[in-house]
This record gives sequence, structure tokens and C-alpha cells, in this order.
Amino acid sequence: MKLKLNLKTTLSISLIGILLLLFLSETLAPKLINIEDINNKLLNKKTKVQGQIFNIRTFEDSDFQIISIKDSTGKIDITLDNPTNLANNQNITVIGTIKEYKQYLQIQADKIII
Amino acid sequence: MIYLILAILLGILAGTITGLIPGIHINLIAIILLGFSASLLNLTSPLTIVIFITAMAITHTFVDYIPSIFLGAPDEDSILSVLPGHQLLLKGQAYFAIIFTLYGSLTALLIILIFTPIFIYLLPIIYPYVTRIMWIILLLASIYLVASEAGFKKQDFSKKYKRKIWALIIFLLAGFLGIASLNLNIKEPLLPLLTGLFGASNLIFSIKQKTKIPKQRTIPIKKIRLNKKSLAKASFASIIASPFTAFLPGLGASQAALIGREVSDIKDKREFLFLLGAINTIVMGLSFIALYSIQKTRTGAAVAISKLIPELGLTELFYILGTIIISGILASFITIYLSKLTAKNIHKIKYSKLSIIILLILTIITIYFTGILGLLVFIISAFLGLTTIFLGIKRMHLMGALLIPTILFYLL
Repeated sequence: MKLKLNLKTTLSISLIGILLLLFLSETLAPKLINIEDINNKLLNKKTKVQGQIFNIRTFEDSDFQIISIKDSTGKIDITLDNPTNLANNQNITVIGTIKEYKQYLQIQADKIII
Repeated sequence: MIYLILAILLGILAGTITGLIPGIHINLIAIILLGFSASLLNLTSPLTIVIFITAMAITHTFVDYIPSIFLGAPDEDSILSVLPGHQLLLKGQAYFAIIFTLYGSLTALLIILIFTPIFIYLLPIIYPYVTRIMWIILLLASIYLVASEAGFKKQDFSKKYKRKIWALIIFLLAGFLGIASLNLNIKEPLLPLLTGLFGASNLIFSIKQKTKIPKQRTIPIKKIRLNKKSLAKASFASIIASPFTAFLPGLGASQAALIGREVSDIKDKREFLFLLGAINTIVMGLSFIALYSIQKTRTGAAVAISKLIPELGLTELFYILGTIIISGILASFITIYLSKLTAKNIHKIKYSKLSIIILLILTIITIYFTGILGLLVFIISAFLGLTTIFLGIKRMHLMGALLIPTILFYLL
């Protein structure tokens, strides 16, 4: 069956395709991993971690925040471009991308769930 | 010093290659370079690699209008050149179109120098305020761009109203596409997204239309002129529109060009092409200055530089500025030569076959760097791009793919 390229076809495929991608983006969310499993091989990959906040540093000049979290296996810094109202001892889930800064791995947060 | 000169020359060569091959954005090369940075740093200093990236990035902004105008295969920054450029191509005047973008890019070098002290002094002061209202700026810019579809005059209101509704639909669909793509576990989601929306869709359309290219005219460059009024108008428009895009995410050169066009009431194709060329180069150049003054990265090249030299100093900035000027001037000669060469020979090539080859190359690149999920995004993005073409509305509404996720990021 020859695919006729016209407005109707392309619009239909676009709509179905976008719905499919939205579905996949929800169902294919990154798996939860232990902080100790984060290594250089995962650089620039999306990940999901859970942990307890033990330190918050806010840089008011640049609206930048670094939140340090720990789980039973290790600790890591989470970077945020917009400050949040989180507090120490809160348990959070972070979805973000693993980045490297001055040879330390950290997570650039896309989403934080309390 | 010899290494720095070599870095500039190699950067110009790399920028020429990336500029000529549609779908290969310097962001991609910058990411690859970062991947090899550990090995490269054993051979040379971080500054040398930074100079290479700067030269490559600036050269790219000069050269990338060649495939955009001759092949109808733009990247996200040169997308708006396709329509006026293509119109001139079909009239045998593609060379003229390239030269007008070149004039814009050359003027941009001067504008970058003028704006550097302003950016260094003013940006750290205004940036915190701008970030608080960034989502409002982006939202207003988006509303304006959608509403500007088919213009603001009252004639043929019902036809224009229909086009505006479609513009909004496409903008929103692109937004959902962008949200989905950025949330998928793809390493570089922008590659399939933008290549599909702008590059692949255009190529598929060219193949379908079996476009034939007439013989192209080339005349001495001194005869290709913009009058002083047009030059001033287009330069003013680029000064108004482009600085914000150098540090505001989600707002690209295309949107800046449209805002600039409306602000200066630019109707002439030549002025618009000049504006596009200027903005593209200004955005790239000022993104490096923004990196120095507020430590924010707006372009892939700036991201790469920030990783190589996390604390960019004034000395490095001077080297970067020098590289911008030198590579811009050399890139202009390369652009003139290559566009003349292409203009003299393009009519000999079967355009649809060339489009098929380019489309295949883009598909292979997408699969290689982003896998099957990336390919899916690429295909769906291409279909959405095609939908926009068939609707006959401006393709810049597809920038909703970046604007909406960015607005949501600042809002939520």
C-alpha cells in the first residue's frame, strides 16, 4: 500500500506518533538506581535516585542550588537552576541527568518528587 | 601560539564541514569532542580546544546557509532562510541570498564587539530579574509569534483566523512532541527532534515535489548591495532581537529574527536574509560572552567550553573574541567561494537524488547517536514538519518543541 503524502496522512501520523511518544516517555522512565551505582559510564544519561537531603547550598547571585542527598549506599550532589523550598532530612526522588563537574559526578535535576 | 593558529584553522575547516552537511550541528560535534576531551587534553591545552570550538562554531554560522538555501536543508538556526532563500533559488538567485546572509554575519562581528562590554557589565545585574520573569517573556514571545501568523491586518480575517488556529495547533503539538522527546531516555534528544522537524521534512517535501533547480546567476560581489536604509533597518532589528537569545533558553535565532522583523517592519527578502545571518552569528558569539559574565550556557558550543574551562577568565575571553573575528573574516571568504562553486554547478545535479542521499545520511546519523527511540522521534518530527509545510504556515511554530518545555521548566 503506497503511502500518500498529504495533509491528512501527515497530520494523522503526527498525532498518533506524538501520543505514542508521550506514552513511552511515561512508561519508559529511568529505573531507580542506588547512588553507589552512578559512575562515569552513565555520564549524560537520565537516571532516578532516592535519598534524604542532608545539605542545601543556595547561590543567590545566580539562582543556583546544590542539594546533597544520601541513601544507604552513598551520597551525591543534585544541581538545580531554580531554587526550591526543600529542607534537610526530607526524602526526595530525583530524576535528572548525570553530569560531571571538576571530576565529581552530580545529577542535574529535571524533576524532584517529595 | 602555533597550536592556537592551528586550532583556528582546523576549527574553520570543521565548521565548514558541519555547516555544509545538513543535520550536523556544531552542538553534535561539541558533544563528540567532549567525549574525547580526556584523550585530547593529553595532547593539548584546554584553551586550544576552546579556540577550535569557537572557530568551528562561528564558521558554521557563516556556511550553514549554503545547504539551507541551495538544498532546502536547514538547521534550527537557519530554518527561516529556507522560504526566502528557496524563492530566490527558484529564480536563479541563490548566490545573492547567501551573500545577504554573509553581510549580516559580517556585521554581527562588529555588533558582538560592541555588545561585549555591555554584556559583561549589565548582564550579571539584569539576569536575576530576567530569570524570574523568563517564563513570561517566553510565553509572550510564543503568543506573539503564533498570533503573527498571516499578519495583523484586518483584510481576509476569516482566512487569517484559520491560519492562526492552525499555527496554535502546530505550536502545541510541537510542544507535546518536545516534552515527550526530552523525557525519553535518549542521549541527545534535540538531534532527532530538530533534524526531523526542520531538515528531514523539508528534504522529503523536495523529493515529493521533484524540484528542479534552474541555472544560478553569479555576479561580482560588489554589485550585490543593500542600500544604507535597508542596512540600518536590518542591523537595528538584529541588535534589538538577538541579545536575549544569547542567554534565554528556548528562544532561538529563528524566533529572534521574527521578532526583529516585526519590530523593524522588514518586508524585503534581502533585509530579512541579512537579519538572519546577523542574528545567527550574534547569538553564537554572545553565548560565549554570556558564559563569561553569568556562567550560563545557551549553545552546545558554550556548554563544551564551560566543561573544558569551568572558570573562564578575561584572558581566555580575549582569545575567544580574537578567534571570533579572525574565523568570521576567513569564513566569509570560504562562504563566497563555496557558494559561487555551488551556484555554478547545482543545476547539473538531480536535486531529488541529492535530497534522498542527504536524508539517508541524516537517518544514519540519528540512529547512530540516538538509537531506535531517537529514530522514532525523528520520523514523527518529520511528519509534523511535513504537516506544517502542507498547511502553508510558518515553520517556526515548530519551535514550540523547545519553547513549551522551557516555559514549563521555569513555571513548575
